[in-house]
Amino acid sequence: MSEFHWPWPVLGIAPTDDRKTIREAYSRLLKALDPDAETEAFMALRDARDGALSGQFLHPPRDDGEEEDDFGLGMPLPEGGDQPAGGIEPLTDAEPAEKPVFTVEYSDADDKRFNRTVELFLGEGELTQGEIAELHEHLDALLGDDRMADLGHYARVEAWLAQLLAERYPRGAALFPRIAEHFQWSERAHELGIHPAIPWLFNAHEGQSLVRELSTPGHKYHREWAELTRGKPQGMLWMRAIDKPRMANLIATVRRDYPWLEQEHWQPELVARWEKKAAGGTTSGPNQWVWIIFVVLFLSALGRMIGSEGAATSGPEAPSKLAASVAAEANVLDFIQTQFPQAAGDGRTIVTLRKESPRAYEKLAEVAGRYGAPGDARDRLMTREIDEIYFYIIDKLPYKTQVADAKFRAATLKDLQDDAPSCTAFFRNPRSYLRQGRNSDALSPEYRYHMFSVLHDEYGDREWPLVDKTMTIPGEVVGKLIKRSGLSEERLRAAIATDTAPDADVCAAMRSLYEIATEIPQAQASKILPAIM
Amino acid sequence: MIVGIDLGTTNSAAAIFENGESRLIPNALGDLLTPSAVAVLPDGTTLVGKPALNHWAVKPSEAVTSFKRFIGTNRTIKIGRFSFGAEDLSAIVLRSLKEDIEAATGQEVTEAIITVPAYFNDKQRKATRRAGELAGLKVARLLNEPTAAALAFGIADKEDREPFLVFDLGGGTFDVSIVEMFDAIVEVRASSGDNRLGGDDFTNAIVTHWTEQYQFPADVRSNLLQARLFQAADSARRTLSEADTANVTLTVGDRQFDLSIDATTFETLAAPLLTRLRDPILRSLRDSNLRIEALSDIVLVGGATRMPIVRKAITKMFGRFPNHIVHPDHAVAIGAAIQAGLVARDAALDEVRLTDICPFTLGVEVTEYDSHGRLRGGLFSPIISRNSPTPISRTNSYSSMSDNQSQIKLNIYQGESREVANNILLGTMEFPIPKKPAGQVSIDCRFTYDTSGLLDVDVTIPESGETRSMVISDDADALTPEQLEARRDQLAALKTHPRDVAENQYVVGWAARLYEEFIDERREHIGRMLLHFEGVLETQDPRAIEQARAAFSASLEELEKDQRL
Repeated sequence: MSEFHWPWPVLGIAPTDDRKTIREAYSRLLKALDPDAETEAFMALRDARDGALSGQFLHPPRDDGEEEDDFGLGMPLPEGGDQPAGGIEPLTDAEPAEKPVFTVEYSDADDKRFNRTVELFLGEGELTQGEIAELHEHLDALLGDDRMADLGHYARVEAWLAQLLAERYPRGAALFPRIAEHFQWSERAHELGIHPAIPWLFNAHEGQSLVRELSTPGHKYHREWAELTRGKPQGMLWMRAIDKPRMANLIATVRRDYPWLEQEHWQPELVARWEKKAAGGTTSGPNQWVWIIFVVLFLSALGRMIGSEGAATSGPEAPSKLAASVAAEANVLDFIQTQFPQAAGDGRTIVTLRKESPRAYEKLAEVAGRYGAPGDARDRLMTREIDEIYFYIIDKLPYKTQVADAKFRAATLKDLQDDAPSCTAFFRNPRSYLRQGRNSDALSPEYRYHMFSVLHDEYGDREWPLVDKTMTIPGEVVGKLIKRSGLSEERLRAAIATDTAPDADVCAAMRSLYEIATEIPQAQASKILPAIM
Repeated sequence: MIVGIDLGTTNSAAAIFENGESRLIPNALGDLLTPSAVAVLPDGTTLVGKPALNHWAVKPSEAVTSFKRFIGTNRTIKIGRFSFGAEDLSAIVLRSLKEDIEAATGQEVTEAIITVPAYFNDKQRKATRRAGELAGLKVARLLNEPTAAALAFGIADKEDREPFLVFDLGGGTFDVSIVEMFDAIVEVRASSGDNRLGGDDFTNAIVTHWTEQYQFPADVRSNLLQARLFQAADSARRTLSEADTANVTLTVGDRQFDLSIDATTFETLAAPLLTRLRDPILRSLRDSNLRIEALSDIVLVGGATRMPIVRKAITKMFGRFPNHIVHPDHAVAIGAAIQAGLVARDAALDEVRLTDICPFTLGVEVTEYDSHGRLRGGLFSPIISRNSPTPISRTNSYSSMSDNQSQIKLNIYQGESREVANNILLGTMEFPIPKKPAGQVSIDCRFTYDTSGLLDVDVTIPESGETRSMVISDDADALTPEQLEARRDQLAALKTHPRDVAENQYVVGWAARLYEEFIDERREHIGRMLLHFEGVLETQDPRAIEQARAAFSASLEELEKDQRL
């Protein structure tokens, strides 16, 4: 992370590419100083050694004051110099960079598989259903291979697939969720230092989901999006329906988070025109209203990070799509039957789900459609999809549903109480908590079924406004809370209203709050529940 | 004298550096390893080590093991009518080790190097240091466990070594470090790990399997059953290191259960745990810019690396056989004593130096306005990147967010995610700033990470020239020296047995455990022997006691061997 400076005076030697000389100089100087007492000197020495070993400082910097331009890029590296031999390649090469290594490592039969995989990825246009099925088959073999136990092999396959996906995106997008699940990318995507293609892919995937949402009539930003993507200007009536601040917001959000969408989808002259209009219309700075909308947009995209297919399509369903949807339906049916055996008895079947809550059905079918066969991976992804939707809508649902949820949540917090950090993490952000590792097992089957029921009964086809998250706790409830949680009023206040209280306090306070919310009259509870959902 | 202490999840050990080499010190029972177990009897007498383990098998509510997993958390552990934090229990173990060394060397022990898993966070490190202070030890330095093992490995011949990988799978934690040696400088290049993965998890996998497989009656006291089951599973896990099948007879009350597990089943149970070994290794390789083929050696440390399935997985992962030079249970304590020698500037280590790294990224939470003036909160702004060499001190500047802002709240995080929600909150600082238009007040935030892996945060406001140091809003950390003293006194009030009694106590506890494990004739036999031994104890004749104890131990050993078959 540190920037290197001309290292030789610090090391007391002349510029050299001889590793031994550099390391000996470092060793001599290190032994003469006490790092604990002379921290700055130690840091300078270490930086100097790393700089010297990097081979970037063999020639003095030029005097024109533009030294930085030369560093790293312009300077030729010495032959046989110490180039870091990392397995990570930059994204710039057009060829999948790991290919030669692969050809060596695979036996003939597998090599054919590998070549065919590359061939399928490198083709033009969208993948057909047949090709997707074939790729799934190749992936089965590649990912299930015994050699994946070898770490070097594992890392190469991972880097190679990430790169291939990124190079040809969105062509292989249909395979992304499966590969991401296998390598657990969702848990590592934001880690610093991970293969650069991985966060890029997540971002791209999010962008594609956003495009599809925006292309659906009824979406808040649909008109603005359509305006920017259409071929020629429309009539005055349409113009009036477009909201200027919203348009400005859309342009800014896309430019910041998904810049490539602009190039791919927008008409430059229309964008220029609207930018001018927006600049003339609203000049105010940050504005509460705009901000809230942004959050909605952002969340809805985030909620679908994993759960959707790549390409945006509209128009009549193609026959191949229909076939896929039949397979998906069978898959959803199987999921409901195995995960929620009690559902049929309650009259919640796939038929009613499709009728009562087509949106929920579609989302589940979408996830299921990517998995040819039932299994843990499918169940996990579908469960995750339910988590995403459920925790997004629960604070907007009627009192009765929220009380039921509070009961389950209190029980979950109770289960987690021995592990205060998890307990707090679950309370603060259930979605992100459940997404990590095996945490989704933290919920009881009853809670899971309740979540499914809510999806089935309540999700429907409605708009979801943001909910005011301020909470008023009536005096008598505070008394009960103190009694039940065993915390003093001061600690209780800290646990509820700040984010610095000890995890154990937060855990106790919130569990009591959920429990009490299910016991007090509706008038009081409804002031509390939406805020803690 | 400075000593090196390996405070492990399952076992602890102590070593000293003397006459140019590092040497483990046996405890009162003559063992080099002291199980990290503590028992507290109803009268407040404490037992540590093997006697505590024996007590645990009989009265699980009065003893506790594997408490290192909870260090740095607010969790209270109840033992009988007493309540402890994990650091109190660690302090009791440390105190016992301290006494052992003092008894063996006749010198007073004042300072210690205590080892911690490399991946321990700031809270866990501070709690470990407090445990040392509670035990009456000045903690000269906290040393990362894989680094200690690397020292033990590297110092053996002081030869230059290309980067090697230390694979440290202990009872409760997993660490990976990549280390190289040049001109007697031991340099850690990268560390990574998993704080919640260790031998205990493998044992628990067997416990879960048995619980599903065998219908244990609900009326058996569940606490006792759990403790027994865990011990049985642990012994089965060890048996599987040598045999294909492990059969254990579990006696609870008057009932017996014949439990068994074979190597293939165990392998299936362990598969999900083994895959968790992969990520930390790959990450440390990535961070040190090395290909797996470039590693010159794989050094195994930690008792759990004895398991054949772990070794097999390692061989598969690296495509070669690991190195067996260092003793997996002793290397960490040996390395800690070498570090003690370094701190004491021992002449034998004159040329040796050690540089370690900070294994995780440290930074603060920031909110940013984007180009369009919208807020984006909860972002992580790294100040010290992971795997920077320590000690290190870095400063970043931040500025105020809104007009007339009167104070700044600085949340300090550790972790690797761009969003702070996924990282660990280490502490919070709040301080007033001069009221000015947004962005015009800047603060300099300096993070200093020392060689013990402890973090100091200083904030300077150039505007007013004011400087503040971090006060972590963690309850335990806010302890004043007087409070610390008071807690030390509380712990000191717990009685320990005089050393000559400890051995007798141990044999009695051992017999009591075996008594519960057997039934029928053998149980009666043990009961009779115990009665006899207690009779000898009452005579208070040292020589008679010693003889009786030797005979009694021999019989118990026979019985125990018998049981394993």
